[in-house]
Amino acid sequence: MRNAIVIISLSLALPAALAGEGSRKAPADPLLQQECGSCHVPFPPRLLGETAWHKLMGSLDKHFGSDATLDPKTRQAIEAYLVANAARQERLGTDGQSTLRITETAWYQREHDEVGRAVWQRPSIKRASNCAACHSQADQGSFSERQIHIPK
Amino acid sequence: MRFLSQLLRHTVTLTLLCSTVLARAETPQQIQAAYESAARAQAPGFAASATRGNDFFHTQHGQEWTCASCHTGNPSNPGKHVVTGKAIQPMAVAANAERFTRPDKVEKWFTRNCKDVVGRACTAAEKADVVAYLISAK
Ligand code: HEC
Ligand code: HEC
Ligand code: HEC
Repeated sequence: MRNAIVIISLSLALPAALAGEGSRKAPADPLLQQECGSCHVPFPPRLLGETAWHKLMGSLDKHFGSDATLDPKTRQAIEAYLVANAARQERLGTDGQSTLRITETAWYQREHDEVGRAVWQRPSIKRASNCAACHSQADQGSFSERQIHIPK
Repeated sequence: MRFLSQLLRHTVTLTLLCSTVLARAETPQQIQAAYESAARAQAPGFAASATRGNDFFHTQHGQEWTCASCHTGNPSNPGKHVVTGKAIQPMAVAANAERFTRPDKVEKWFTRNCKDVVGRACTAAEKADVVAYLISAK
């Protein structure tokens, strides 16, 4: 039993340790993928700061107009993972205020400023939070530039 | 490093937790029966009804959404999250053998979705009816 735990721990600890803080390649955590990927794609931890993740995970019962409650153990495990892989600094909104929406952050707006206003309105995209419309591997937590296809 | 060790501790608890959950796989009929017997504590003689479940699933309960808003009018078809547009696998047991086999998962989603659609927790009777409906849906 103890051996099994050590092996499980190692297999999980290794990618997390290799990824390091602020790394572009945070490992996709299966638990995050399962629990935070059921209503939308699992958003990558590095796109928000620690404070934002704590706040978001502390209010899952009122989650952007939906109830996304988790049992306490699962919630704590995911929160620890998000915070351990969070952006080094808080990602503020374009207005300089803190935000829980990745799509409202100055970082997101800057990264996507070459996507035209009319493109966001397309029925195939509908919402900026619909990452998977353009990032074909977003449901696996991957946003690499090589996998971007903007739909018509 | 502190986070790493915290993470490890939780992951281990979780791995152990998951194996207990997996061990508790059940059939949709067992899950329906468990809700039915919980409902009988309030109403002796209660029996689940697929017809009532059908009504419950497709009507509004004082809020904006119905169950069908995300799970579509025909539970044998794939659904689509009403806000995010993300695809949702069919709800009918005949179309998706994984439905109603994991009691914890079933409870988790009843809790969330009933809050959003009904504005409160669903009763055991309502859950039994919905499960009966989705077992019978062709
Ligand atoms: C029950 C469904 C559901 C679950 C489960 C869920 N979310 Fe969400 N989430 C939503 C909805 C609905 C929105 C709003 C989407 C929109 O407005 O376009 C959202 C939005 C978000 C946003 C903001 C996206 C933006 O606009 O930039 C973040 C960040 C987020 N969720 C993180 C999480 C995390 C982390 C988890 C897992 C702990 C999670 N979500 C689980 C339904 C859910
Ligand atoms: C309308 C299509 C579209 C949507 C929707 C979209 N993106 Fe992008 N995204 C792009 C494009 C185009 C680029 C490339 C910008 C460039 O080449 O500099 C990009 C770049 C990125 C990058 C940088 C990739 C890299 O390797 O440098 C990240 C990270 C990213 N997007 C995350 C997201 C997230 C998270 C969401 C959802 C909350 C999202 N995107 C939604 C089109 C989109
Ligand atoms: C806002 C969207 C939305 C609404 C409205 C909604 N659901 Fe869901 N439901 C989901 C999502 C997302 C899942 C999880 C994805 C999956 O399991 O494929 C889910 C899963 C479930 C499950 C889990 C079943 C299983 O065994 O896998 C049940 C039960 C359920 N919903 C019942 C309901 C009922 C009853 C209603 C109406 C009171 C309802 N849902 C309304 C989005 C919704």
